[in-house]
Amino acid sequence: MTVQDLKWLSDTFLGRLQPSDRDVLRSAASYAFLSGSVAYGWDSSTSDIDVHVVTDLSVDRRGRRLAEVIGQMIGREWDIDYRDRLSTDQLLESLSWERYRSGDAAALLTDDDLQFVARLWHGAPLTNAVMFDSVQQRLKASAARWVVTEWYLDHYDHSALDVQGQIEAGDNISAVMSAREAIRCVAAAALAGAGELPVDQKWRARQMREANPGPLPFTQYWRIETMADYTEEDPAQWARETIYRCQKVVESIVLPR
Amino acid sequence: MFLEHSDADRRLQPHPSAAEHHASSSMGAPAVTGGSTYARLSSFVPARQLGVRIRNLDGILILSGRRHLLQLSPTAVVIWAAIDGRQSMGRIAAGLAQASGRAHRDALDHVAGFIAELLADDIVVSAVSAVDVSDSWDGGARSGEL
Repeated sequence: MTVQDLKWLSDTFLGRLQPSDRDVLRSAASYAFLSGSVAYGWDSSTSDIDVHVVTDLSVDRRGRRLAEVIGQMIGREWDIDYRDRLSTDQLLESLSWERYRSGDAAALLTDDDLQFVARLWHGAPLTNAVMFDSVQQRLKASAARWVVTEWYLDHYDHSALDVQGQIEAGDNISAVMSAREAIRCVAAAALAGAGELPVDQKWRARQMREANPGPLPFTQYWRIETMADYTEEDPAQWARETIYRCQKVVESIVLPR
Repeated sequence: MFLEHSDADRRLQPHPSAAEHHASSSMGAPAVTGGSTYARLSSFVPARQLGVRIRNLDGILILSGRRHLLQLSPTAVVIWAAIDGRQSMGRIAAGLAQASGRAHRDALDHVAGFIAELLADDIVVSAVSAVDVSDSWDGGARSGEL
């Protein structure tokens, strides 16, 4: 997305709001940013436009209805997420190095938090760029990438344990499903460890191809993701081999102390 | 030593559900210490538990077992890397001997000691309890190289 595109989006967004809402967004206490495929430059003609508004002032939800009107005008849907500034600050605090070293930061991160952190990490400012840039820099200087890495490693652990139990129980097709979940978690952890916070699963292959993280190069990831070595005769073997490969990747992701 | 039991980092505490799961999933691994012959040790094939929790903290590999956190020494890392459910302890020891310049018997002692710890913590299990000593290094063991 070019600077001109961003300015156009920003002007369109602000220009269609009621004056009171516009004042909220222009206030020193608020900022809005783009995320999703538009921010990454991966959007297509059918992509919606994801906007996040972070403010400590009350926001009239008319903005959401206005977004639909704008969407109809430009042929794109706008998806606007409002977030309280205090909770955003608390989230950033939970990603500090101190919390990371305490060992409980990843466990306290919710799915919503995880998504928001990734969107903020890759976001582009729509309004109040100075404040947005400051928040984004604070995020990138924090232990966020390692907390997110640990979050995915913890989820990998659960999937790997599932595979073990399912194979022992003879439930091999379920083991295959768990192994697929395991490799996705490991790929996400490898991305986060490389400083590329993982975004939605639908973009995982593209993100892996572009980042090509050392512990799990794209070609290796893609071979597992597409189940290239799977055979109907022995589903458990594919699941087992997938977890062995995951273990090697996990061993290569070096977490700072 | 191969291992240090570490309790320094809460992020690496043994997985509670893993502990429960492992407790019911022991595969009857043979005792590898106290009276086993070297031939039997050599033919034992260890396999990693699929659900073992692994972390690399600043270049130090840490495994979470049922009861302990095990911090691997550089030699233990070499052995751990060779545990793939296919290679016998004899073959792993041969690789270690080649890499470190140790005598085969000394290498097997080290491998057996390390794997005994992993078995005790349910981090590895027996892949094959084969007694047929057939690989080349084990052949060497029969001929007295140990």
